[in-house]
Amino acid sequence: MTQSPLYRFGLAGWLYASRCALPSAWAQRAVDDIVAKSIPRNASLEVTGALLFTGSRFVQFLEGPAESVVAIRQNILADRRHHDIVTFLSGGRVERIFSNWSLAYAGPSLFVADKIENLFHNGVHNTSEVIDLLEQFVIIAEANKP
Amino acid sequence: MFKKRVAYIVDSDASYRRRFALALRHQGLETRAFSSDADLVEAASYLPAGCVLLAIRGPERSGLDTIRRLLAQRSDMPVIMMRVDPTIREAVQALRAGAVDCLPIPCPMAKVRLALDYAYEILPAKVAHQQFIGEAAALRAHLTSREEEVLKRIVGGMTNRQIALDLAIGVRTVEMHRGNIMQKLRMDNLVALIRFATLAGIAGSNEDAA
Repeated sequence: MTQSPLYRFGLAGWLYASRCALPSAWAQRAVDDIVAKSIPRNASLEVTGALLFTGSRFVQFLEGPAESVVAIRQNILADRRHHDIVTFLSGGRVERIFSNWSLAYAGPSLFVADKIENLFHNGVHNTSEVIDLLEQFVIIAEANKP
Repeated sequence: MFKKRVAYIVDSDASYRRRFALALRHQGLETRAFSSDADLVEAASYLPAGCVLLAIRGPERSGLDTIRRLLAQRSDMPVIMMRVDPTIREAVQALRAGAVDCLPIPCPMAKVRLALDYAYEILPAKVAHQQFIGEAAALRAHLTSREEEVLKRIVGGMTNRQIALDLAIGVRTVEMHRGNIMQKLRMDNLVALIRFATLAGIAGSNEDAA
């Protein structure tokens, strides 16, 4: 990672979950749209992380220069496609977990949906499990690349 | 709710397999049970389309291989992996290998039904897609190797003139090939042609890429 002017603000992270405000028929298109816009924007802001979509909930972990994370956070809080945004983790980070930003998973898996629901029931105790879930999706996707 | 819906159960644990099959039959499903994943893979190409409930009791790697081999033959069959205390890593690997979900063993029937409801919901579209792939492969067999070369370049976005230059043939010859391709494939537009190429696994080629 090259030293940018933003570096002096330190590394920050944000893990949140939200409800998708769109009917399911439109949701897939919304996800495609979010991914297409997020890849260049996050790269230019030096923000890495992963997004997950269960069909009804979004979960996203973002990490990067504090100023960048704050800027994206304000965008998301103003985005009408998200409802009921709940923050599970927010603040300074020692090091990055992700080397880029990607869509970890978008699909109907009950296994994944259950892990996300656990986050709501057990709160902060489950944040590492959810970040692990995001990380596993990204690691295995990288490993499967030809 | 379930009508003539077939569930293929794979589990090396005989007593669990029997109880699970019975419970699914109570839900109105037709069931066929296999004691090993090899048996299912061997029979796969002859089976009517249905959902696979694949219990992996041994090392996970073999389970992933089974999912991949099964889907290579039958991309139309939704596969649900089942495992005792699945870890996040195991579940994610199964999903990445193409499984629609990963359920724990034992699993409450309400949850099994939820997963199966989704699987049967997407089954018709998957069956249709598998059929399109089969038809596309059959149509592809009618093309000559030259026609396939031309098709790859059409799909890659090249004009007739570019294709003529690239293959060192005349523009009129390209036009002739193009006409023959359309006729053989019974298609009259580029969008249909691109769709066909995708289904038949023909990648587009372009002089820039070459």
